[in-house]
Amino acid sequence: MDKMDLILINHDELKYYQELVDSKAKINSNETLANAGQYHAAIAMSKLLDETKTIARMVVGSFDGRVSNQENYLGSLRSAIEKDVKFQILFLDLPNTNSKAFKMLLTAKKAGKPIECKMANNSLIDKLSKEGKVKHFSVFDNNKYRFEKDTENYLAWFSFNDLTNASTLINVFDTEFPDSKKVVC
Amino acid sequence: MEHLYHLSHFFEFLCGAYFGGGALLGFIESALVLKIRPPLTTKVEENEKIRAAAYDYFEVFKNKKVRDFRLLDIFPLLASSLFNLADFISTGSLSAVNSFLQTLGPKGDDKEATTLLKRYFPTFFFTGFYCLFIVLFSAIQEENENASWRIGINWFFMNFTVGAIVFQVWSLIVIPKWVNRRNYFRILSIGILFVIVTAIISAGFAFFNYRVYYSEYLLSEHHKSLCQVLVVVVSVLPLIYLLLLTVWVLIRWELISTFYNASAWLFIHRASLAARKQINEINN
Repeated sequence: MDKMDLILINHDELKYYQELVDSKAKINSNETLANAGQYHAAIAMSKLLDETKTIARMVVGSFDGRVSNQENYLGSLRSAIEKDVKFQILFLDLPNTNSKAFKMLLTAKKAGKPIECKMANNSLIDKLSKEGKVKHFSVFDNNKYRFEKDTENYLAWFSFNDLTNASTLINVFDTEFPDSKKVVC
Repeated sequence: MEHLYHLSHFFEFLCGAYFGGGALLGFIESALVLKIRPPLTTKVEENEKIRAAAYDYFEVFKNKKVRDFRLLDIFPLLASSLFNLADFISTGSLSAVNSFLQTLGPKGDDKEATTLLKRYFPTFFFTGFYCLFIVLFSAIQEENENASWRIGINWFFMNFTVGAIVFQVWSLIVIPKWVNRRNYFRILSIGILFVIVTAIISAGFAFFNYRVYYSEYLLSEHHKSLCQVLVVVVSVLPLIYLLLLTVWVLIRWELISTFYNASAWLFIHRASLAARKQINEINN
């Protein structure tokens, strides 16, 4: 837990951040929102998953658990899987087999849910590491996205309704996903 | 002093306002409790949400290499500074206004008396008597040509006015923090003692010819207008104070909201440009 997260927890800001994200999701806001720290990241990701109806495209690290093991994140992931949302996931690093989210995806895949997980090709890693630090992103349906520019501090932009940025990220993802051969789940 | 006689109706009206202060303050308090408290609670929560978002915006914005900074990045940094400034001011302001409003409204057995009445009762009571004395003494002077009476009343009134200024400053700023019956008894005792001592000194000057000429000087024809303005200001001071207090709170409140909204707008505007640029970079 870093200093920033301690500040957030101590000042009861998580509650207000959650309310802010909920209110933006409710009105399908096209504003670009900001996201800092692992707890805010879990709030944003879980709300984006809640709002997803058909497909989630995700470029992730390894599911190290700091976000993906949080209860709200897992709850929303479970709901999305139960709603038969299609998951296409590209891992930049080998998946963490202890991750609760990864285990949930594996179980769901075995149960016949539409889930595909692959290792990313170097071409994608190069694209996402142009400025030195690798970036992650997720696109939900065709209008929601989260773009993590700093994966160590979980600093990201996200929006519930931005077709332009979402379609740019979908282009990147859809170019790479079919060419990625190594299946991990 | 007799110059004030033609303003009798005005002072009679003020007497009514001050002695009927319970109704007036009760009306203000009901309005505050019913109309301001609910939106205030909503606004406090809205500001908390903006604060939570602003922190994240700033963290994401500042995470940039120096060579990547552009001139336009000054806006979110400026927004952050403005926001922090507004936040610093508003934390105290909001909690003060909020805790003040939470104290209002009937409590327990005390359903009839309002908190505002308790806080401003001494100053209303005192100023009500001040206005009543103006009406009475200006009428006496108007009808009575006796020089000693005239000088005595002038003296009494000048001393009373100076004392009233001191008492009002005290009763508007300090007394609202001492709301309880024992303190009121002390305050009123001091007030009554003050009036008696003033009356005795004034009578001494008037009837035993210990004249110090400032009352005659101030109440001369030459300074008639100045004295009238002074007396009118003293008589309406509690009302002006309450009015200014309300305006001050509202202005401060609006400024804070404007700061919050302007900072939030700057953050969001720049965020959408920054996100688009960074996302396009990975696609090129």
